[in-house]
Amino acid sequence: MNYNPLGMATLLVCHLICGESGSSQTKDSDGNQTQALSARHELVSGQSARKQITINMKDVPLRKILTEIDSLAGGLRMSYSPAAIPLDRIVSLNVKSVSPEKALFELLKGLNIRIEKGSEGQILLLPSPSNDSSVNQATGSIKGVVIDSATKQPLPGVTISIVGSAISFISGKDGAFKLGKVPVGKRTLNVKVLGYQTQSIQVTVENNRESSLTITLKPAATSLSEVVTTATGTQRRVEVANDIVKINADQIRERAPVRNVIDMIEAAQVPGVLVTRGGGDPGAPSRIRIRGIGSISQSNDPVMIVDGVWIDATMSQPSRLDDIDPASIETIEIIRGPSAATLFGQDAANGVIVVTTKKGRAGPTRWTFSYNRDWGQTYGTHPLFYRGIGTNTDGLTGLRCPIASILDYSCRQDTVLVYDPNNSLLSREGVETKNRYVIQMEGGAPNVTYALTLSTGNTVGVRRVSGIDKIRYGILGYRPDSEFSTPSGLKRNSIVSSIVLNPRSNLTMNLSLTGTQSNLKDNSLENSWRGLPVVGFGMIDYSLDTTFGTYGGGTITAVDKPTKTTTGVIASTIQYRPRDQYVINANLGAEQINTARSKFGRRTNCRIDTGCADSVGYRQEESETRSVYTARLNASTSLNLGPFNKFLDVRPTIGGDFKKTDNASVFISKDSIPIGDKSINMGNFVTSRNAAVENAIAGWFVSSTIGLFSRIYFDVGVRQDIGSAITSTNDAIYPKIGGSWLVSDEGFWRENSFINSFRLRSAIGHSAVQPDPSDINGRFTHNVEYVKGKIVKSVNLQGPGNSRLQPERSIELELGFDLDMLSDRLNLIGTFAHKENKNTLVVRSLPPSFGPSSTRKENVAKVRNENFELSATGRAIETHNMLLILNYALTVSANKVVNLGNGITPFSQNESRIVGGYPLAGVWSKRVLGYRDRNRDGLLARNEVVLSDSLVYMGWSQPGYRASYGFSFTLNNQFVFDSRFAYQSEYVQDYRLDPGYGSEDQSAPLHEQAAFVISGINGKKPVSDLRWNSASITYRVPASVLKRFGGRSVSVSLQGSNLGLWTNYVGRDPGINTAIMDGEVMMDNGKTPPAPRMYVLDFKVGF
Amino acid sequence: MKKIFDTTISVLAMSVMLASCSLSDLVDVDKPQLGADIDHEYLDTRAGALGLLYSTLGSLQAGISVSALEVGQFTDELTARPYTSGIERSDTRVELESSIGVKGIPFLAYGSLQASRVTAGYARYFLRRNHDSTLNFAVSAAYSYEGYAIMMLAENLCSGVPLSEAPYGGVAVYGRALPSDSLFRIAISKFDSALAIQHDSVSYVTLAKIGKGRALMALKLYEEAAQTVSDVPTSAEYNIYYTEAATSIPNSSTTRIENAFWTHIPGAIPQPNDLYEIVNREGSNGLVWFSNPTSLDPRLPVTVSRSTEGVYSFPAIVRQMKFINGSPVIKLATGIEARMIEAEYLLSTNDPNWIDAVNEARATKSLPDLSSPLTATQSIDLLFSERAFWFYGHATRLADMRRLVRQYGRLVNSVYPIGSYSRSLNVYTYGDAVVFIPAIAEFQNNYNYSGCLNRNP
Repeated sequence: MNYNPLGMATLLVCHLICGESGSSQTKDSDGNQTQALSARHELVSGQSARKQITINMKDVPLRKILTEIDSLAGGLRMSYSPAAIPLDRIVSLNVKSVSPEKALFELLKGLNIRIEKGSEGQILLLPSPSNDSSVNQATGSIKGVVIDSATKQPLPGVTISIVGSAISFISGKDGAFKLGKVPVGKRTLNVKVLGYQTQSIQVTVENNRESSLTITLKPAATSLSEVVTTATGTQRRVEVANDIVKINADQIRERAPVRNVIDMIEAAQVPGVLVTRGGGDPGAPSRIRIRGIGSISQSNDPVMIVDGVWIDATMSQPSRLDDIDPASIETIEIIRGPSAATLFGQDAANGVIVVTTKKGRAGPTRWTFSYNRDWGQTYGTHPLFYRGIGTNTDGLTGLRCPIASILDYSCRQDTVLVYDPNNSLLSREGVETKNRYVIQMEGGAPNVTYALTLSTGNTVGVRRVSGIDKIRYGILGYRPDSEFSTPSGLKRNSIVSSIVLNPRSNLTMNLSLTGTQSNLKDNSLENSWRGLPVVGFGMIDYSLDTTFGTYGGGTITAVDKPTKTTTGVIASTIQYRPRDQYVINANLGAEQINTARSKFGRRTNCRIDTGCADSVGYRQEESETRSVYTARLNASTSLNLGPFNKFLDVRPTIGGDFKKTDNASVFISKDSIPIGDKSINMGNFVTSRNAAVENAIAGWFVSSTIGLFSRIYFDVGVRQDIGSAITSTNDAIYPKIGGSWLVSDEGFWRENSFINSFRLRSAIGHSAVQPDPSDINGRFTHNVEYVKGKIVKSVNLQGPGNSRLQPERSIELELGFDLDMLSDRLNLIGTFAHKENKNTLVVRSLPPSFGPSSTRKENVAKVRNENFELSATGRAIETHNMLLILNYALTVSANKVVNLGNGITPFSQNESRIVGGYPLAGVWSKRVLGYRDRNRDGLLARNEVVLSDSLVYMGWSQPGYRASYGFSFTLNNQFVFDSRFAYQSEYVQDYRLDPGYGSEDQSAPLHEQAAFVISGINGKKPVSDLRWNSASITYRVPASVLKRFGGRSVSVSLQGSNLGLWTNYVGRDPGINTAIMDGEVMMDNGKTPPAPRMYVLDFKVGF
Repeated sequence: MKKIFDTTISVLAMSVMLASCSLSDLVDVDKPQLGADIDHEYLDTRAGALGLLYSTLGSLQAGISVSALEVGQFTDELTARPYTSGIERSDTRVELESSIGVKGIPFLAYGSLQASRVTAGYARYFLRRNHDSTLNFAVSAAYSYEGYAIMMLAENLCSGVPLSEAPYGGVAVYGRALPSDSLFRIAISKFDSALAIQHDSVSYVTLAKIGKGRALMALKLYEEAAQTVSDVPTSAEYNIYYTEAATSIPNSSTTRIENAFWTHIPGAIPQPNDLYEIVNREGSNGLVWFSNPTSLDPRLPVTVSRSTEGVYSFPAIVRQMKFINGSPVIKLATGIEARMIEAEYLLSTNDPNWIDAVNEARATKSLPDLSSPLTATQSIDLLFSERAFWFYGHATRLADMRRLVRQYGRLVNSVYPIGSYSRSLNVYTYGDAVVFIPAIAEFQNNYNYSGCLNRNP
């Protein structure tokens, strides 16, 4: 096709000079004037003129048929102006064995386009005079209303345009539109708005007549049209400048084994969200990190909100995130980036997780019963354990004989005991089982709906008493309580209910009640080294016929009462619309958690040779009540301004919120409880403490969404907080600004089927994490002193406060795009986030002139996180009986402590170190620079190994690269196959589990001995792993079958999780090597069992 | 325009509504967290405020007892003995010179005295918030405890000790090096504040007056010191108590409520932590503490254990019996010290009656009267010897040695232990340090502090 600016200029000049010569007017069958060819046989010359072409194309753009004709004719040298010719007009052509000229004539008939031959022999396509000017042209008008096909509600903001003209209109709040001065004839209306399928409608416009239409639009699957929750209410995603992930809970539950909120978030494969498991025990706490870790001394936990109410999701066992039954959840939204913090307030700097429970739908009561049966087993193999045994130099006394003792001639090794912790006799892990029953009902009338979810579950954890323990206890004459046979377990009952009232058309009230009661059994044996035999302490040899079998064990601890936790959440939401343009939202709610723990143990150093001679016990009783109160109010209005009416949509919001936490706890510990008794009333008092802590924070904000032409949105706002731990409100002002541009709705964007919608977005905002009150006022603790010969209760100053402390401020910049392609079958979302935590709080060691070991927090450090996140969802196959959906999510993360503050030396936090210029929670270790067995005795002494003088940075403990892959295939809407994989790399873990190989076995190769010299226990190594997270097959009984039985839905699903692990990690599972403790990184070395490999049978019936 | 008007009115109304409820009232909580088990509400009670006072005293107790042990090693009161595991403990003067006080015990002594000083400010703050006249004694005591802590830092450490400040809810100030004279004057001001408060507790008056007198003596203000303590009866005492059974007390810290002097030189069966013993004429210049274990000075009884006593096998040890089992008390302020101050003042004026004050004190232990020596030098020696016996193990011996050099012109080498000493098969030489210096953590963490102004006596 020939089109260039020079040609176009020639064309226009020619058009102005040549006038109407060479053409004549005819009338088509509809009576419209059409420019016919006067000498059409002369238009096309040469070989092209002699070609015969056949075309049968229906309902395709004009441009496509012109291209086809040009192609078949072998190049017609056509020239035309895209601005003047309606190339997107949907047309049809069916010709057989005709000349190209004839085909063109047939195609352009009725389109008010005339054909001329240019001076250079090219074919000019020109608009007929009637299209060039409105003067003296017959016109009519089109009016109508656009409505939603499902709700029948009017749709505002819909763009209605006449194809091939500049005439367009955006529907108002009532969905109404009117197009005036539309040239008569058949016209094509293009109707489009984000979130609905674009429509083309043929309308015949008559002279001086007004056509009336009702246009019904069907919702489309485009992600940008989704409604998401923000602090100011609900908004379409396109209006929000930062990326918000919305998880449909039921969809996730159908395809993946989901036992709790953590499972659901992990299964959703959300980029930028890192879930770290706290272990495979029931109720083990997990950790969520959104876009990295920025705080050194403060929490990096995201804020949790359930039905508009803050909940206390601090790490505890059982995990609070386990309490909310996944069956009761409608959606989970993960809000990252500046918006989260600015509008959700203090402590939202680490992101916000918004959980919305099911609210019910109008209609007859719908019942759903579901039953899960889980089986799980841990996997992976422990390295072998080695223990050197020998005799004293006198050859008589048996003793443990590591290589170091051989080297200093204190013993002669004669035996190396090798233990296999995977041995059935030594293993302390069995099969986890779980039964869970859920009953749901929902329904209601138009002005009242309700939903109720009842669930009960009983999990028996993987831990077991090992065979060797059973033998040993038998020998000792000790009879462990029956609870020991399955030391870990969790029973949970929960109720989630919701009622929504619409007493008036402009008033909606929702009341949600959530209650959970759980009993957690977390018994431990042999000190706190759960999960593995305590071979590291020489306690492996339980055999009776050896000289060295005198290591019997340590404290035998039994928890004879499970930890009982009762949780209740009440949440009310009121939405009032006094006028159409005003909306007032209010949330009021509270959460209370009561926990009671009881622990009983025997302080007995049971030995095989002596037995348990002293069996007095100890008991600890602890109870805790945590409460969170929430009040939130905001008011919004919607405003269309003055001369830009319909084009400038402003929605200002003003609001405030209040959150208060109140914690109270009591702890009593007693010792020397007599044999045969367990009561706290017995024994000697050891210690007691009680504490009551309140913390409150309030804030208010002003924000506004400004929409231009329904395709450009600005989001501006500012928030101010005051709180019981904020010293200056000047330090707690957080602005934000963001922009969202729906580029694909711009006039210059060529509509095509390849890209359906394209949005660019950017946001920048401030947020903060507040310090603790004790960081400002000082930290104290109870103690006792000896005053005048008496014990008195005293109050010790642990560290002075810092009245100049400011909230830890973070500034986050987010850049991203949203792309819907290939008729909305492929959705891409990409985001780059740059976040800097300034004034980061660091615990600084004070000089002893403030008192010994005093510390206090200071705003000194700066931490940077950068994340690139990409998610792709595509419907690769979409037919009436098959649907294949592919998912991909990618996160690339980088973290750096930019500086640590003047005068603050690098410090350690467990096995990680915090050093300026390196990532937070970086892993450091000495390195073996070389070794040489100088005396050739086959043993490496310390002085034969050269180590680096200082610790060397080995890598980051957090994965720098994470990707997940998944597919879901649905066949005949009856069978669903689903599977997910996750890959992560660029992180460092311990690489061996104290096998004693290099330290206890003198036959160990020198490099193993050198490795022991460097680390004592563990080395560090970069790790990568690919995990088969889940797979499921689901069968849904067809509706035709269900009709016979009056059922609504029946499905059976077989699901598996943690199905495979491919890794270069030597231990059992790199995912569990990081124990969830107070710090960010706590190497666990595999003592905690990993999340088990689970198989789940899920059965659901609905009617 | 109407829409704009409506919207503006609505927004303004909402703003007024939000502003009208005082947000600061909302967040004014009763129980802000101040630690794992302490909240502000508790501190604001009588029990909480007194708890802070007890902590002030507890820190002072720890500071004194650990200082006593350190001072004892540094001076002629104690000497290190061969450790049972074969590890040799060399003399403190050497250790401190080589390691800049990095050892734990000096750090604990230094930090405890500083903690007492800082906590005293917190105690007074909350005592005054809960003020009634029955707590006057407590406010007075808090001033005195702070005064003693500051005075002891000045007595035992170099010139140039920082006093960091961290008032409750206020701004923390990293201290700068303060000359010893300034520290003594600050201590005196604390004692004056204590004395200015009216209360009925005589022992707390004694505590403040003796403290002030001791500080004035360090500034060579003998007359003012004597006047300050003149009305303190010889029998007056302010004791601080320790226990030997700290481990049986819940939540207790053994380092705070056990007398470190007793812990390491117990009067009972020898233990592996018996690190020190008493020797005569330590480092040539030391006093003769005992001449015959069977006819001992009642102020410092000693015993000599056999090498095979108890279940352990040790070389023979000369053990102090002053701080013995039960409640090893340190008499922090006594009328005896008042008499010693008066005697020193009279001696400074060449008044021959100075010995009467000494003998008045000796009479309380039924010790025979002493005669005044012929020369002033001998008189000073006698007076400081008397002080040494009276205050043995009270962490005052170093201050006296320093005063001998500073105020009486004695040479360091005639006062401090010097020369060489042997332990087992090794021979060591005493160092030349004459003062302690702040713990290494002060140098590392106080950006306002770069070290002592001088290390002279």
